[in-house]
Amino acid sequence: MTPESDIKNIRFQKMVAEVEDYAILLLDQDGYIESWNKGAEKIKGYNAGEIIGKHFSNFYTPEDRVADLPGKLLAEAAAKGSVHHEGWRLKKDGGKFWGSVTITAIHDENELVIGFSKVTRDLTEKKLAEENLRRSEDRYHKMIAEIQDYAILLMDVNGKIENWNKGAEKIKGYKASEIVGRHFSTFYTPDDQATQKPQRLLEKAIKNGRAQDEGWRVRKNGSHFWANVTITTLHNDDGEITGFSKVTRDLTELKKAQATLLNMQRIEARNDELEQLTYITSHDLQEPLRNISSFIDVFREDYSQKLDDTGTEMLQFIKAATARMSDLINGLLDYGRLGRNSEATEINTQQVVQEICADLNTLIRETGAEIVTQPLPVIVGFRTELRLLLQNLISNAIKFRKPDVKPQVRISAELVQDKWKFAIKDNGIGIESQYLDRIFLIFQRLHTRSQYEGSGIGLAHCKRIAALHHGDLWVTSEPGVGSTFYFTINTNNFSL
Amino acid sequence: MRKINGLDFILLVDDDEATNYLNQRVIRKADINTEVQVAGNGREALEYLTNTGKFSSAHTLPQAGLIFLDINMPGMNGWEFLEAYKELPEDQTRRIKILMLTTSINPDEERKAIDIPQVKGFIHKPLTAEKLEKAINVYVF
Repeated sequence: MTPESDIKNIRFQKMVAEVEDYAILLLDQDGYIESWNKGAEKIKGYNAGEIIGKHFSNFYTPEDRVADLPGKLLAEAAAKGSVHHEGWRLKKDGGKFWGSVTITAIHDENELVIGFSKVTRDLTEKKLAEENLRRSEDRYHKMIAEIQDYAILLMDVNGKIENWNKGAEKIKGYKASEIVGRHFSTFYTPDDQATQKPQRLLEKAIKNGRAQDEGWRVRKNGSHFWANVTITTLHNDDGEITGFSKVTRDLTELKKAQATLLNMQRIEARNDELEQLTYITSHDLQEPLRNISSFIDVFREDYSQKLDDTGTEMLQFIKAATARMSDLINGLLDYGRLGRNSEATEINTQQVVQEICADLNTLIRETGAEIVTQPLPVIVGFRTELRLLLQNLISNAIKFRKPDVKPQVRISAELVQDKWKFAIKDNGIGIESQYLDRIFLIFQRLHTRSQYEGSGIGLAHCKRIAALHHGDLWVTSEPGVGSTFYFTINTNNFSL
Repeated sequence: MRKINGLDFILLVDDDEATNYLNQRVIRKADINTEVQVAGNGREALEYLTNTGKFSSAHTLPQAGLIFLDINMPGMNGWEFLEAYKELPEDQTRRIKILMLTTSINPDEERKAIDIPQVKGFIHKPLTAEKLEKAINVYVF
């Protein structure tokens, strides 16, 4: 009969031998293998006959053996009772597995180490999963770090900055080393800081999960940018707040574009108002003027017999002044109406100039003017207005001639970048340099009307017409030699 | 003096005294036998047509004539007058012709006026002998 204790012992040995998920083996005090179970065979690939009597360092990589890791582990287990270690180990076929190893020293009655037990688990799959996770987290962090268009940062529960990406550096101007550890209120304007805006945003984020805001923020160099900010509260598994993420976009350009648009709308509204005002004033001004004019006629009709020559002459002056004022008011009205209800069309400017010369036929014949035209382009624009522009410039070129010199007018055009640049050059009296800008202002005249007739509106009209075509009008001149008027017409801004 | 059938009165509705003076003169020179009245705004014009207010001493309601109507006037303006005018009995207004007489060169106002059935024409100031003759020939006969 086998004693009861022996049976228990055998049962125990069998149990160990049959365990499949753990390699459980006995080592002698020097590390040589004394027993081998099914788990060991399954994990490491050796059967008991092949491996018993061999040293356990067979399972270690050459590098670990060179570093004497097996010896160190045994020494530590001997000294401390047990040692735990995880690392890559070798199978019989040379394949690797991630071993989680516990080596426990076995002592005799005198507390001398007489051997070791060694329990190894194969955690390769867990290890690989962890590595994948780590790699993926790594990639994720790198991704955030590399993002340039958004400032993405983490803050602790108090709003102190914990990390910093490239976008944050680009948008706010700080390097990570300069800003990590500081409070995010650094980015706020003194006004916002005074009203505790950063704190209020954090409170809102805590309450609602996140907080959004748009407003001016301050860069490192003190300049401002228009920021769109989202602060999100971060929680751990227990629902406690662990900090905040903060994503910031720089929308300064967008903001500027919006501001420009707003300004343009405001200017347009003001222009409409001005036009309305011009219309009403000129309408209301015309009324009394018409009365004066009518009364002069009536007066002349009823009292001409009773007037002497001086009285008749005075009446003529009043009549002339009234007519002139009426012209001015009409000019003002036209000025306000330029470009209204006009549609852009294709215009052969060569042909337009020919038509104008036909209209000015009398003036040209009387003055002996010579008009030379270089080939002119077909452009897209407002026909009536462009015709007015050319006609004004051509008739001015003839009008402001020197008393005894036949006027010569040269008209040309060239494409400069995306604009047609027209030139109307004359050999007239020229303009002194201090008046070069003033001539384009409405009602500004440089000459008495007895010298040169005119209302002072023509060039103001021209300037406005050029502006309507997204172009400009200017002049170069030499007194006594002549002037050249230039205007540009944008080729792009008109669609047929 | 000519008596024109259907032209018992000419009503000048304008707040500008100089304009009214000139227009009255043009009518006087045209040598037409008709009653010429002046109203300073739409309210007074209505009073004339209904023998009330300033015109309450009149015995008969005006029935056949021409109204020259300005647009911009203090109090009741030309447009408002036209609204009120539509409410008058058709029996009375059938033989009354309204012509707008304004300084307005605003095409929108001209279009708006022409769309109103009671308005027969749109004349630009000043009223002249020719314009008056034309108005009488076209709208009264």
